Amino acid sequence: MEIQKEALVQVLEEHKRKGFDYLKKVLAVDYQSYLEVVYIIYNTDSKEQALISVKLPDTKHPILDSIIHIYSSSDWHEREIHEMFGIAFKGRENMEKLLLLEWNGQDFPLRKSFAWGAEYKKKE
Amino acid sequence: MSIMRINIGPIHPSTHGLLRLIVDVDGDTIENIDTRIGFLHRGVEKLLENRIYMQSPPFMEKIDYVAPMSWDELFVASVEQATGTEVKEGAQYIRMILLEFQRIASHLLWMGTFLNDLGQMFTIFMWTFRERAAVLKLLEDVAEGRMFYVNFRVGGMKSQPPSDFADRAYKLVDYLESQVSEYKDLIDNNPVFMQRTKHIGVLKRKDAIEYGVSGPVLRGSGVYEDIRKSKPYYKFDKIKFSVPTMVNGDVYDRYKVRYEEIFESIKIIRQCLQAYESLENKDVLGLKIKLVGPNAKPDPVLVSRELPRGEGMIYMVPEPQKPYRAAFRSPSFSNLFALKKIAVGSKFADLFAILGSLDIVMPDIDK
Repeated sequence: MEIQKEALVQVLEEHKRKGFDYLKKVLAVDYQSYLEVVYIIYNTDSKEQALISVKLPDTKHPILDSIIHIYSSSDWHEREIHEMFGIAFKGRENMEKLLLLEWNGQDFPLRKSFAWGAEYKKKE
Repeated sequence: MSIMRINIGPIHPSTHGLLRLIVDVDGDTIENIDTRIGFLHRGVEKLLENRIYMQSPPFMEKIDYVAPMSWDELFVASVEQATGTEVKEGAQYIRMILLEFQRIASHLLWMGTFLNDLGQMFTIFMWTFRERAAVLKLLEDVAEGRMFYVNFRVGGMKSQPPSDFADRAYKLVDYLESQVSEYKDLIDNNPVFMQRTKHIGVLKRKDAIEYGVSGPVLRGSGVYEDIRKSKPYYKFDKIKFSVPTMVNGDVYDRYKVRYEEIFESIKIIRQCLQAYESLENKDVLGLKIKLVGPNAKPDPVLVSRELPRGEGMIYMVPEPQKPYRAAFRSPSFSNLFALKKIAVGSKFADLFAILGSLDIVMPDIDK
């Protein structure tokens, strides 16, 4: 299901009320002209699964609402997406790097524009 | 009392890989944990984007070195879904058998190292490794590799199983059943083990769901959830087996779920062997690896599997011959995330019992 990014928090809150209590994964895809963030949520009682995707046309400064107050488990997923795709998440603390703690590159590794083979310095 | 900060890792025998924990303790009680990961990050998701589909399984196996086959199969299954390839019936049964053996081997390794974490040095470890070696011997003869196999091909397997495969597999499960039953006397009747695991590291049902844990950790907290039941793949809908769940969500319950799962896997293997034997066409061979394989359709695919550690998932946006993007949900990632929730408030000495009970594999987390 594709939704507008402004509606994200509202839609997820509604789903959670309907019983989608389990967040499986948050992932991002770089389609070059836009970025897409996909939320995979799950209902542990009825065993239904739902995919909710948000398109971010602004690839220079993509920003999205954090859903950490709805699903606690989104914490690490958001931090991973932040460092890998440069998508900022509004309304949460601690956006420290997760997997790339000692890496000082300015580019975002999972973006398609990432320069292969470029040398990056380790953080001092 | 003042807070003391203790650094654990990244290189530490009890963290099972490169994991750093910065633990604040007040006396003996854990006040806060800062979990630092990423020391093993190799960028597998990015590497996959530059390789044709069948170049990737060797990478996928290194994501979880304890159960390499399961990640290999997950990736090949997502390629099959993307290309619309049917898996041969015989190959479906062989895959189920091998994956369940892989689950048993993984749980046996975990059980040995977990008891090491609890301080029962190398007694159970020797037992479980003896049984695991027997499983690996069979896998070696079928899949032609001791630790890493790369024996899944699009639509089937790399090679036909040896002619005596079914006999040996039947004998092996009988052997495993009798041996693993004996562990009960050594573990469950051991008062020290019970004291160190009962009511320790409790993760309540509600929190387990909220923190997104999966697999035995989720089932230990009382959630009936198994991908083999809720979204059956291959022939799991035709196989009779139960999903062990517990209610308390403590370290003991997570141990118990894995222990019982070994017997369920044995049940599954027996039924699959029977079904495979009764097949007329026992051909399991998949497509040979070529420079140009079958073309994938451009729609994104999502494949879930019940891996030994929990739910593994691949979301793949395919290009015809290679993934445009492949994103993994690794079970250990979410399970380790819950560590802070479980361990804060416990005693420091119980930290490694709790961490061990989550059964994490670091490359799985760091990708």
